[in-house]
Amino acid sequence: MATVAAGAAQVEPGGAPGQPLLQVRNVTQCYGDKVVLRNVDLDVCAGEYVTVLGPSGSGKSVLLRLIAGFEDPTEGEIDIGGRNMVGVPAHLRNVGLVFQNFALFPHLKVGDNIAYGLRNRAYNRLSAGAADRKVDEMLELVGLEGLKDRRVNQISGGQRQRVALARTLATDPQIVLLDEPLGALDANLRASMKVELRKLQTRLGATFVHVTGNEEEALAMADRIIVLERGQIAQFDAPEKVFARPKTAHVAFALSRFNLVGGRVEGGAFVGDGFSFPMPPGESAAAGPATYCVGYDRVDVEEIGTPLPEGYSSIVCKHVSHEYSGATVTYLFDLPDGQHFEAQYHLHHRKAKRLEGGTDYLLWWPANKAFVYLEVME
Amino acid sequence: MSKRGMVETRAGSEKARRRRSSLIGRMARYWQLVPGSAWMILFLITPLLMMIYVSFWTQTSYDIKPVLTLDNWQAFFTQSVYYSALWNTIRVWLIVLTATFVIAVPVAIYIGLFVRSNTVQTVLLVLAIIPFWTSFLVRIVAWKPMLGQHGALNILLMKAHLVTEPLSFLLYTEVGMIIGMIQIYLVFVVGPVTFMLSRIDPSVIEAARDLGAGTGRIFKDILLPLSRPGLVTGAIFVSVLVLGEFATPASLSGRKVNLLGNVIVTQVGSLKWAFASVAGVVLTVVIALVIVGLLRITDLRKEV
Amino acid sequence: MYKSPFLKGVLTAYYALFLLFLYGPFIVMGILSFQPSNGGPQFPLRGFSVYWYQQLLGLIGTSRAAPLPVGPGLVRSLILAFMVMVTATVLGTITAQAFRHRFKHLGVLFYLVMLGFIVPGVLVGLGVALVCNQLEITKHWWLTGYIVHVIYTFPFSFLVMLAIFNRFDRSVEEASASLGAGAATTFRKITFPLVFPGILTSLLIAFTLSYDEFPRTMFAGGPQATLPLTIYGQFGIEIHPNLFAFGVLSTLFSFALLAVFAILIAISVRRRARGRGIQEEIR
Repeated sequence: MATVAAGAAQVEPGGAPGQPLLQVRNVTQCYGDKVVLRNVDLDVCAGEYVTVLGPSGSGKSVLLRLIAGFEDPTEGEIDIGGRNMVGVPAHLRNVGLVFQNFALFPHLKVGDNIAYGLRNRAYNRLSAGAADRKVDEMLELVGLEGLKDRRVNQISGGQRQRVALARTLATDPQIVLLDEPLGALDANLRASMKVELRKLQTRLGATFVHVTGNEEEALAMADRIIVLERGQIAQFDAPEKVFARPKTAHVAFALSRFNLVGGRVEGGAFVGDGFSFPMPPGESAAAGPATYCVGYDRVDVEEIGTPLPEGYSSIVCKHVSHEYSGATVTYLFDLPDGQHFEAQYHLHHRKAKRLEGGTDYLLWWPANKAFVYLEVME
Repeated sequence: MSKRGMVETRAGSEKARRRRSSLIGRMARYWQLVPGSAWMILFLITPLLMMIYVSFWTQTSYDIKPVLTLDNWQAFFTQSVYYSALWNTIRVWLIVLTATFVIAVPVAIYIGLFVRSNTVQTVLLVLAIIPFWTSFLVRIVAWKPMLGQHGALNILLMKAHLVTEPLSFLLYTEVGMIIGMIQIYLVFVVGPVTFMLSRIDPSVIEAARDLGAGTGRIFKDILLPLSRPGLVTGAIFVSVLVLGEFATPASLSGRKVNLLGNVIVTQVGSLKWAFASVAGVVLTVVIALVIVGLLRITDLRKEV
Repeated sequence: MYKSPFLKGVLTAYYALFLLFLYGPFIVMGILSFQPSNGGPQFPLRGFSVYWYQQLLGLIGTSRAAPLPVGPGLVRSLILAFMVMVTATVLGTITAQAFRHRFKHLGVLFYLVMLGFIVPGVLVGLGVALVCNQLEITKHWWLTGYIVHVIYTFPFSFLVMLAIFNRFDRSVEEASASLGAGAATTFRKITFPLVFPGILTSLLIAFTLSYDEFPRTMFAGGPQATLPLTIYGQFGIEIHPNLFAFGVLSTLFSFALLAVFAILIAISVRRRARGRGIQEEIR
């Protein structure tokens, strides 16, 4: 039996079918003189899993807070379900937020934490019995049956994370925001939670917006990934597309899988201190400062003097060290001008090489798998 | 859906945003400031302003008239009975302040720095602080049987053969009053200073030692700055309380010592309101100068 | 230096002397409160009896010393302290909440509130008495007395709550909002329970300060005396050991209050900290 608290009205979902569930339009957020978000435009469709990737200071947590309704944007609009959210306080938006530090209520038990929204929201409060049933449902959903009466400080970090998730999902929010949900977990837990989160989202058919600084997480879990750089959206697309062609040097940098070499375009080639390669086919050859980009896994390491295959570009670098991480090994090199270069071998496909530290080697890659950005990274 | 279709709906939301962060919204947020400030302005600031105003009124035998004059002020600064009260107040304040600090700081250092166990630290601190929870007047009264000619102190001194005759200068004198004040106000210094010292991470001091700092250096560069908020807090407490005193002088000095507080009380007793107000304003100025001076040493607001 | 046993020994002895100085008068007062009926308010102690306690509590018919008229004053002080502790805590909590936003010029408000205890009792009392006289308001302990008591205790309550809120993680309040709870519900169900130890502390401090307050009440409290004023009134008159008996009982009362407070805090802290966090498990 649900009761409606007087005077409070939940924002009813509206909008035409096919209309994106969440629309952020031209949002700019300033704190005094500091511009934290700049002209952010994005759409999220119902049932999508979107991740937001960005380093700290990129404004990703602020974006979540704006969508959740803890603050109003300085400029721009946020629409949820076709309704404008400006002026609508957080508790009426039916948007859930799973906090980075979980923000569990320390004075309530696990079951009471999960039931909190159902029993205390401003609209549609559930009776104790109905809430209890929902709590049991949620506990089963996240795999925490039997912990209903535990105190919050009696459970482990991974369990707390799942309580936070259950608490938010219990109220069936239109959109679920997750602020670095896996940040506080150790590596093993993180790996298993990645799978569980994705399964949960699919099973509930919910819309997730998941913010993280970890590119692996962002790529692995998303239907679409948003890369934020200093308050602006650098790229917003399916992960495979972003990885195949990062739109800017910063996006490539955020994905942590690309070599980025600073230099300049001159006379139709990419030129630097002590090296030069032809421009990749199809890249604009406007003269000026530029960054050359090629993925770690595209690069081959050979002895100097090995004949260069057709259509490959190459460079001579000095081997510094290597990192072995189970399925891959990464070789680290220094360019003649001191910039770094890496080659990553996936050991299922290629055999590892034995390299001498301090020796020069010939590195090559298919020229058409590289890109050139007409900008230089700071 | 075209972007153009969206633009029309934006006009409405712009108004919504302005409304929320406008008058009603902002007023709703500001309401929390109102009760506290209203109470203080109405009931504290206004009476103080009244006091300043009345100090310029004309004083008749038992009444005051709102005719402005400087007579009261002149009387205050020309009659030695009154301006000596000002001097006494400042003098007693300095003595008590210095004495409480000299006595209390070693205690604070002992508890805060030398005692390792947290439990023992708490116990010792609580023991030193508990007298705060006893009645102020009871504490005054309790000194009488200590300091008198037949008092406990004299009995002990005579028994220990340190004196042959009971000391008579202990009670109903300025000395007795000062001793009483010191004991009463020690609590206010021990508390804050011990608290600040106990918060200093001992590894900081050890690190300084490792780097070769001597005791003096450690004192000057580590202990003093880190405990400063506690020192200033204690100083403010003691100063405010001592400067406004009248009960302890009245009881323990045998009415020999007159502080500004006593002047106010006696003047009010004879309904000389205007004159009392003059003393009040003088006291206010003294306290204001002391507080401002102490706050220049640390801005306490940052410490909370 | 801090490992020096000599210095530590010296300071320990110093601390003992310090405690002696601090508690000396109480001890003396306590001893003398057991004077028999023929004893006076100073040494020598002529015996050992609870006569003066009985006299204080009105259990003795007639006595050469006038009974201490503490009854009505005690009642007034208790009621007043209760009213004051509630008001001061409410005001202190609301004002401390205001400081959680980033308004401009909050410094002015901070010092305005601090004035409440910085301005000595004589001045506050004098000012209020002047205003009452001019506006022809009659002074009562439960009106004007109450007001000045709140002025005195509100800053302390405010400081306690400010310190609590400064260490308060507001993400739980935001979590409550994101789950649909409005501002009032959030305060009632989340904020208040979590700041309760601070509220308790504020109540205790305000009660203690008001119960013992005397200079402000002297000027602004009206003709009916509170307990401290009754006692002060006795100073000018002859002092008898019943005053010491009163002092001992009053001190015991204060300690009992402290003990109650400590127990309440311990209960509320233990209720939240039951059990210990367990090690990270890999699930």
